[in-house]
Amino acid sequence: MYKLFFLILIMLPFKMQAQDQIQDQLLKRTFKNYHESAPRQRRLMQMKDAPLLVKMNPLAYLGAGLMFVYQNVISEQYAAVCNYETSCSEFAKISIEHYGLIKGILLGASQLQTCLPQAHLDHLEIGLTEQGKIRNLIHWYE
Amino acid sequence: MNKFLALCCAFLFCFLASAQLDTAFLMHLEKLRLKDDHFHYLKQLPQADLSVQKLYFTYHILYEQDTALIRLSKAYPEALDDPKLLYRLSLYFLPQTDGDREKWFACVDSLKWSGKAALLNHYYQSANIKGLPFPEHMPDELLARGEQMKKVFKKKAWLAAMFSAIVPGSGRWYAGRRRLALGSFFINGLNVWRSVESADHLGVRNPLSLVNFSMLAVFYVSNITGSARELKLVQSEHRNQFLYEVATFYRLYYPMEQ
Repeated sequence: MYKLFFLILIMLPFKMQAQDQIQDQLLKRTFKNYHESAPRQRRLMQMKDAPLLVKMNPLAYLGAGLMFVYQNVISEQYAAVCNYETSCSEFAKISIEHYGLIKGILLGASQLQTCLPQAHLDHLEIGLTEQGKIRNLIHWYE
Repeated sequence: MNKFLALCCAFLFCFLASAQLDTAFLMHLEKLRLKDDHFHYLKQLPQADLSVQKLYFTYHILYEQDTALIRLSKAYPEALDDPKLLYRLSLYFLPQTDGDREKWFACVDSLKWSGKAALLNHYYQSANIKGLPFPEHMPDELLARGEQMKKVFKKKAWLAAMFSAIVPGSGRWYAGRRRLALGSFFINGLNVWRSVESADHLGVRNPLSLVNFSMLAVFYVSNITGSARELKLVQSEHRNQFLYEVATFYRLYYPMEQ
């Protein structure tokens, strides 16, 4: 009787390990399409190609710093998820780098006021990514 | 002498055999997507042969090398006299949205189109040229989308901007983005309320009031410019969706012939 008990006790971890493997495979197969992408890298705004006036202006660095703090500290705290493929803050940053301050701010503000939970319902299938995010490539706004 | 002749025949046979196309092997490479092996095999074939150039087209379609396809079509336009190949390539490029479609149809503009390839070209041109009618006997599945696209193309960006200037968000509603219009209206309304309240209670010259007014100005102006831009994006989206549906329809009902 004791032998049987010890046999079951020894075999139990192997059975549990096998079950874990089966469970892992089931989970992988079920959630195949919902894999987590690599964590986003929020870099500081680049002033490399900016005019000299912008490079010498301390307010430009202040703004870049505030954006960096928001993206890497504040936004991470409440797990902000944007409906757009490029998030609103990142889009504003890229727009300012690409198109300059005024057009960049206007583009960023325009996207911010349209970033709603049901915004993707207004777009056709071709305007959405596979994950259901709204496509917003920067060269579309030239 | 006989030995010499036999050797010459053997040499010729081997030479010709090595340059012959092994279709079964090629299909095997395509099926398994062995890109490097596929490329090396094509390199061994006589490059000046037009049929080999057509195989290069198939290779680039398989591995989605759009730039190479466009370059090849400029270098070997005579290979595109084959209507089946032209149909296959047009079907491949029609749903592309990253600019390669425009490059493709521009680069093959001067070719003689026939059959289904001409039909695809007609769809592309009708989606891009204002006023050009759709092909005759257009399938019902595509007609609805096409009509919707034409309706959106009739709208004007300056009208959308004007509507947004009068009532924030109405320009987006005109463009067809109803939910975004409501969001825009709400945010601008909130900004107005906040600015009025801060001016009322704190005074116009108060720094907080100035911040509120500047935010109101930024959001209001971005709402106007955004509405005009949104309409252009909506038109582009409808065009892309229509061409994507055309490509899907023809791929389903008229699959590419080898």
